Amino acid sequence: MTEPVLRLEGLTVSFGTRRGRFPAVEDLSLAIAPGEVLGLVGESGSGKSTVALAVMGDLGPAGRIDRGSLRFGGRELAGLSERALRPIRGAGIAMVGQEPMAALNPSMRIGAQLAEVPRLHARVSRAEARAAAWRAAEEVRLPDPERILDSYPHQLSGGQLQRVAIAMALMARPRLLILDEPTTALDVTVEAGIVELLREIRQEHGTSMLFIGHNLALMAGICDRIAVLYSGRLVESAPAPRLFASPRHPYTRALLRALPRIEGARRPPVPLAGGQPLPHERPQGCAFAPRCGHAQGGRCDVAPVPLETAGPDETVRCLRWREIREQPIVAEPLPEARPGPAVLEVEGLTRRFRTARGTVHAVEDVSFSALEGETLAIVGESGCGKSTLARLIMGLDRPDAGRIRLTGVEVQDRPAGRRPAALTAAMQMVFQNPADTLNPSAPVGRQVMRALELFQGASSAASLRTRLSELFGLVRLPESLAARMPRQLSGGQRQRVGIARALAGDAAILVADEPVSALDASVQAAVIETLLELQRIRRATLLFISHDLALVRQIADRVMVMYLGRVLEIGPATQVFGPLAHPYTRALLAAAPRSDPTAALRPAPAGDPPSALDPPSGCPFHTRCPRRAEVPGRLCADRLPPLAEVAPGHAIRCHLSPEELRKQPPDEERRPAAPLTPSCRGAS
Amino acid sequence: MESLGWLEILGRMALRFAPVWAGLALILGTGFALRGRLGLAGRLFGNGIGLAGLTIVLFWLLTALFADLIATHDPLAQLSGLKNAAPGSPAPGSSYPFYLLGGDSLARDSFSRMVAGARRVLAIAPAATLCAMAVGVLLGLPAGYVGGRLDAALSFLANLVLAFPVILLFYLLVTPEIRETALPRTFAALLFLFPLLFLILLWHSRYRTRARPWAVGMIPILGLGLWMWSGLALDADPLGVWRLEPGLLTVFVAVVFVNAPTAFRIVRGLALDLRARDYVAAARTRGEGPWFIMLWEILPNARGPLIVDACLRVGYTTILLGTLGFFGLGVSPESPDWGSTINDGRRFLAIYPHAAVVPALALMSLVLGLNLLADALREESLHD
Repeated sequence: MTEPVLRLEGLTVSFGTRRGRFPAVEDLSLAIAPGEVLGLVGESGSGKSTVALAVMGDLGPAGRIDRGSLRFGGRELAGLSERALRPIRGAGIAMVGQEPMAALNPSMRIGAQLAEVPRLHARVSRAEARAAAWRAAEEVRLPDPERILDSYPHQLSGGQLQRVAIAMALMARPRLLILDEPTTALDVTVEAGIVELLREIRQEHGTSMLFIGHNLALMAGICDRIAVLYSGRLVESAPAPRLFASPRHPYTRALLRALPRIEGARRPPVPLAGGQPLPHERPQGCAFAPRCGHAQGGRCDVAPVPLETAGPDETVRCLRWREIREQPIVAEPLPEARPGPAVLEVEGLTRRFRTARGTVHAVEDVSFSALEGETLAIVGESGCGKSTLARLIMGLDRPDAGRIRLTGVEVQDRPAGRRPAALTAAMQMVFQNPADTLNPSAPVGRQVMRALELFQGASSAASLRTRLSELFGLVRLPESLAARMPRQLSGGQRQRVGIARALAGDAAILVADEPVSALDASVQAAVIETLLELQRIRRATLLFISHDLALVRQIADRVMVMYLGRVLEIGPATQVFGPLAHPYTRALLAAAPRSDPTAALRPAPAGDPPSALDPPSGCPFHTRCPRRAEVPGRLCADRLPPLAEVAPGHAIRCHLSPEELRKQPPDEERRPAAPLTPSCRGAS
Repeated sequence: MESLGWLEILGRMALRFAPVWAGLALILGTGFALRGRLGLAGRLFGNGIGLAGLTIVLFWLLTALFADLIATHDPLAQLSGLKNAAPGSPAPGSSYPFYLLGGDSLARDSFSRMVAGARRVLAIAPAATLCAMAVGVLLGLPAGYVGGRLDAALSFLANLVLAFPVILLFYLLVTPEIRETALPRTFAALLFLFPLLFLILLWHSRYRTRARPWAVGMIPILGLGLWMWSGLALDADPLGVWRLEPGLLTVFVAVVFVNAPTAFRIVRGLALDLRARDYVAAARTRGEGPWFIMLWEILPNARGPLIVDACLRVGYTTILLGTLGFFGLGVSPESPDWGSTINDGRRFLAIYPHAAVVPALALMSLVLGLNLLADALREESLHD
């Protein structure tokens, strides 16, 4: 067997905190063979990023390697001085992080930053370095390298920046590339492009990779082997196809069940109860035992569980893995919605922002209605106007034109605060960022209480308190949390408090703007479950804004697809995800990662969406549309197609006829998308 | 009687400060025992710099509080023969047998004047700072939160005040011609209204939906507030409890006036940043009024930088008062405040340095303590 590129043995890393030293990673052994891509999966707090930092020798003043070895190509890294590590970083091991904007110097041109790498590592001349930067930019498929090299980071889109960061990491030809959640901050379509690029790089250069992430579906598409980390310990590792086909550890099984699946229409993800223990609260035995349905008292909670070899190249840390035979749990399909009358009607809604560089067409002529008791999903890439739409509906922003009717009352000219109390209570919002949705300086109970006071001011103090405990019960939070401050709650708990607050006035419509996108998969599933349950019980309307098509497919009754401020398609979920759909919807679906390593590669739409500052004429999607060639002449570029009804309740905005749309090009499944017009984002 | 040696002087001073030591021990001991439950203030006990700052500031606070017990002589009394006396000189026939830190050029006890000066300085500086912060908060929050023309107008006003040279402004405000006009009174009436307005808005926005707690808070706020306001600003307190001598009033107004624009800018910047948060949007979507959002959603989350700024500002105001005193502005010539005392002492600085050095050291240590405290608060509020 060849020497692995990286071999960790018994690695234990601890961090010093106010309360003492706690291990973030315990007794971790891993090896990455040359050319192999190892996925390291775990939820936030599992210690996965600590592994990356330990390998890079960048644990900071509080972190320390307590035990174990870290061998890179046969050389021990643990205990190496900063000076000795420097030549290894970059040329030996390179790293790409989550935030590309933070990785690049905002006051230096991209070309100069890329050229620094060969200047430092290979000591080449300025001209040669510049040429190398050019080649690197081409290698990561950046359109128009000349322009990009001359740009500053703020002039590029997130996807382009991440490509630049990858180019920079690859320039010194490292043997190992560490990718720490490289696509978390990006849109699905852009994410698919980056994953595609990583696959190509690995094929061309044989670079080994350590891919760290929390999204198993995404990792299915790129990793050879996957290691699952839970509370600082490795719980299972296996070749990717094996792990997805027959996971052994109960935690891995639970993770897979909680994963939004593009193929699971109307079957919501299955949540995993509880949360990961903090380092100082880890239980005696198996760390997962308190949340595990198979745990046996007196056995699983006694002594630390050893890591067993379960097969060739497969390990599992569970005492009962041989005994557990469980049928894969599949969620009950959602019952068919029985939608009532329209409670929210939007007509011709338009919002433009005038900026120094021109007018941003954030929302253009959007019309739809939401029915009582249904889940209407609004999907699209970032910048498509879905959040602006939510703000307009909520009255946080005023439309330039159009009408919003809330239970029959026109509210477009009444911003939040000027609406009648009954209408305000009827429609409430759940926000995206769990760190931001609650006021950090007030106990969470008081914040929900405040909403209760506003909406039900006439009630007595005692009845308000009863109502508060009811609300906490409704979102499945123990009442004892009411006295805590938001920072003492986990992200999922905070989102639940946010939902409870929104329900204080018995809201008939909940507008949820990416309510789970910042949460870990298992927590995500639990919050979704709560939302859906509330909707079922109270027959509330859920306006679910999301970029996660897999999740939308699992829970939505109807779907509205937005692109550059316009509605491209709206209709029942079964139809929108069916054979008759807008080319953009198909592209989004194709880009969504699927949790099956054997799935065929699907083309993603090339490039980023154009800027809403200067939207393309005609059909907004024509610059990236893979089927533009089928429309005769310049129709797509010249005229905006109407949003035409192709079936009852299903409308598509495309020049192609329904018959043509239904007909798919035979080779669509495998043909990679030809790079279309290079996208340019007008420095927004 | 013999003059005292330095060791003896220090020993006797330490003894005079006994009430301060007792108070310090009590406060720091209680604080240390309860540090786990005190939040940010409790974490100061784990921070060497913070503890040092806290101790120094508390020392001067307690000195101001117990000034009458600590002072050995009447700060205005002159003893014949002790003009410019050296530290430790015997002072026969008075309330204490020695002038511990010597006498000044008018034969008054430097030690007692320093102690009495602490009361003077610590009565004005924090109050003026709070007043300035109230003005800054009440104008800065709407400027940052509402923005637009309101922001442009208020920012322009603030810049106007900031662009005017401070010392010149002081000279103008305290010239007799201006003092005789109604200007200082009008200004005072306006500026003192801000803290009251702040409390009223704070209470009203929170409890407007519930009549009982609204009344329970509003009655004392209005009653006490208007009483204090009429006394301090208008000198029209029917009971005569709240009174500010005209010279001090002018100084107070001047200090608040100069401090308010910078406080305004800090609050405005913080509000500008915090108004985009989701919890602010959540408050708006549930129909909260603008003052609730500004005072209950934005202000508490801006408290970290504001507390630090207030600490630094008290130090700055102390120096400013010293500067004013040094120029002989605002306060009566007899006043024992540190600035005036330094000014009095500076004429004989080369021959009898103690008269100026004693208050100078006091001023320096207080400002140092405040700065250390601010530093530690800033540092501790960052981790969490």
